[in-house]
Amino acid sequence: MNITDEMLYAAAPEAAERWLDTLPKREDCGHNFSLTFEASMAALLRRRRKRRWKTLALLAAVIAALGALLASGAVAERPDNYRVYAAQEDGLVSYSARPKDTGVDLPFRPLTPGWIPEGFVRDPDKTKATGHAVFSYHSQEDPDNLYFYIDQWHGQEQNGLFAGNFILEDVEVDGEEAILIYNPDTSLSRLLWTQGADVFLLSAKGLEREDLFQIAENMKW
Amino acid sequence: MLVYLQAIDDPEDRTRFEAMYSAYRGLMFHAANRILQNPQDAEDAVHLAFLSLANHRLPPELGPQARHLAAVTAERKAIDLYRARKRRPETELEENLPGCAPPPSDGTLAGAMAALPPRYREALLLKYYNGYSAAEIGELLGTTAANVRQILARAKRKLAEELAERGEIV
Repeated sequence: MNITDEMLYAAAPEAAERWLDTLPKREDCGHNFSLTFEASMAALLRRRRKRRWKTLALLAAVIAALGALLASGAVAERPDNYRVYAAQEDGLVSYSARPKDTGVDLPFRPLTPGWIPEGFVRDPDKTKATGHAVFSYHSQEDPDNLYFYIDQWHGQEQNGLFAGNFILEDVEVDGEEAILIYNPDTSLSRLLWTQGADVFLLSAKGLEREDLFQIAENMKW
Repeated sequence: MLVYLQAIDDPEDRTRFEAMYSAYRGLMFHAANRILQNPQDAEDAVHLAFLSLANHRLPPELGPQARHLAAVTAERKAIDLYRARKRRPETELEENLPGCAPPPSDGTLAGAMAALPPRYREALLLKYYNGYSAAEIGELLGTTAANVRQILARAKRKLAEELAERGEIV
């Protein structure tokens, strides 16, 4: 006797239920998602709300931008020895950063900004995994539209992905390779760089370009 | 990309997507985190899962099928991320992944289906529970329709073997 499709259709609901029962109930699934996640999902949800003509315009813009990039030869393979790397395709930005292999197993020492814009205050710290720290700040005047946070990871390559129509720019932070990713429409920006065995990602909304570098170049023990 | 942009412009589909996001993102986080054991990686998996769902035909309303789709998509993205992080070669069965301990099988067909290795279970239930085609399952699982058909055939063989061992189906 073989297992027929009819048998599988009949058994599937109970099988799905049994597997779902291994997960917590919905009311027990609370989790405070990070600002990075919320920002990425907000971009995705916003994108889904756009009208057709807007998305078609975006399609035309993306095709034109990709065409221009290809024509200029700017789209290149990721180099083997990259320190920081970011690329954008189809409205998705992927990034990677590799810390230096110092050859010494240094302990993780989180850095905090030695300079912050006027009127900003620090949010309560959140618990993070070993080797990862995040400090966030917001403007007292406009906390929803003026904020930034800094992720610091120790000793391991970091990869990420987020949605949005961003501009990528190669820059430097304290003489180290860095990538600035910003969206002039939403004023969301990210600055990615490495320092020794650490990877830093500064994510901000509403901050001026100069403020981003001022923060990044004044990180203190 | 054009298909994607057209899909996300469907107001009905957009509402379903947002409903799934509100209802299941916590569940998806837990499905991913029990594999990855790292909240940040789990959030990445949930984000990738929603990017995948954004390009997919969604169940008409919230309920067990939508819940299953959300959890399975997050689980799949978590497994893919886990393998990428560990630089492990792809294995078909993924039997030794953390957090993938199956529910105990009681010798019934439903129990055996639930206890299959993730890739087999996901393909079978997406087809026989969610009603997706091989091509749609392939998009969700990150593989081809032809490979999905192979996975389904192997999954059925494995089910038959396991139940035959228990004397349920000979």
